[in-house]
Amino acid sequence: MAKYYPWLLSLFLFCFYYNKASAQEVVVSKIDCLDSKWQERAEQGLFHARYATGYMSEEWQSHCDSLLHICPNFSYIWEMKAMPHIKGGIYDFSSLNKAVSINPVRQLPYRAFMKCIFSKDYYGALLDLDSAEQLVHGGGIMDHSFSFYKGISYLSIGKADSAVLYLQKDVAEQSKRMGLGNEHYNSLFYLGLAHLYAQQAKQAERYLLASIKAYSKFPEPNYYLGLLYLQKNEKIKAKTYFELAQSAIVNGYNMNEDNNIYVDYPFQISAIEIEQVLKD
Amino acid sequence: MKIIVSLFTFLICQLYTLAQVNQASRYGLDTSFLNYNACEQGPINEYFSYHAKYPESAMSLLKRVQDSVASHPIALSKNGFITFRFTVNCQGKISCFKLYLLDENYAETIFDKDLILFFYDFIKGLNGWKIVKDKSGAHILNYNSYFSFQIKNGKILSVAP
Repeated sequence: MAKYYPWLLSLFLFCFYYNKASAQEVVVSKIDCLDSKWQERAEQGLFHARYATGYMSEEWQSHCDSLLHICPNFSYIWEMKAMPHIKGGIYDFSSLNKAVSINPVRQLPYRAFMKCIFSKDYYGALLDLDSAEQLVHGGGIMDHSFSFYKGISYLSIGKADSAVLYLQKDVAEQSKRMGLGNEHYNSLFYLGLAHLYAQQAKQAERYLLASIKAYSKFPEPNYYLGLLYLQKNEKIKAKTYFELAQSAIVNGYNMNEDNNIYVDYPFQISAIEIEQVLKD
Repeated sequence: MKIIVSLFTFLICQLYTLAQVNQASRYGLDTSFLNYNACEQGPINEYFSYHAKYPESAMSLLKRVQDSVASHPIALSKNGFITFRFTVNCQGKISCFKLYLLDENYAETIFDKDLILFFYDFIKGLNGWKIVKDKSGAHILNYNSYFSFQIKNGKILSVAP
């Protein structure tokens, strides 16, 4: 009889764990992953976890893993799992790629944004933005249109003419939707900058001034307008705008983009550039 | 059948949760907490919790590093991302380096040691780190930060953050 003990013990353990696993599955099976109320609860849970543990923690990852164990096709959780790594400079896009494969309409624009602003993978961002445009025609992400991100991506890889086309489209869409004079100051700034890099001084001046009109303490258009006037050998005008940019930075004004706390936006300046140009 | 499905799901989840490998030791970077020991102990948060992004813009740093690489015999032959994470201590000194190396498709890779050490020296030469105090102002806090350099088509294309 003793020789059968190991077999009996194995059988007992198998039955015990199988029953336990089945009991857990009963609880899990009661959850409908497509139910909007459950999804809302899960998102609220993440919101609370963010304040309890911070999203750079192992606990945050464990919390996401638990939710994904229950609902592996909940794309937002994959997004939340990826976000802290990418914001911390560890460009692990595997979780975000999974999110995109589940829900491309929602997640492809977000991945494009993360590539454009965080990893500064402008070529990758342009590919994603093209695909996103096909899925959500005329769409946008993080307060700006796809055309805006395409424009700043082209500008960042030195293709100023393409940047002008997309940033013009971005501004034109806003003019049509909200009325002339109500366009976003960052859209106007980047359009002015694209014209500046495309050697179109007159249009550059027009849009940089429009950006300053919308947000007078905005350091960047003041700085680049100063550079434009310097190119035209209008030194007094240039100095005026450099000093306006310097005063704005010293007093804590910036681009007013939510993610600016994590990362610089393309062509963003600091006090150092202004000090340098005033010294020269 | 349910067990097999659960096991498969678990394995897929694990596949997507693999962390990237820290390669700091491979290249002989300072992975110690020696600088940290000079300061009060406590939890270490990220730079953005304290608005402590490096005070020089990424654009200015990019220009400096591009100028510097031009005067070094270093080949930028491989596309990808070189990311250094580190801790800034109460004296504005940095240590406890971690290193993450990715190719242009975000797959793990390796780069030439000379190139890694060039960027490493560049970062160690930055001395404008913000000193962060707690709300009472009595304690100076340590924090984590990072720099990532992107190489594309033989050029340093970007610096983050």
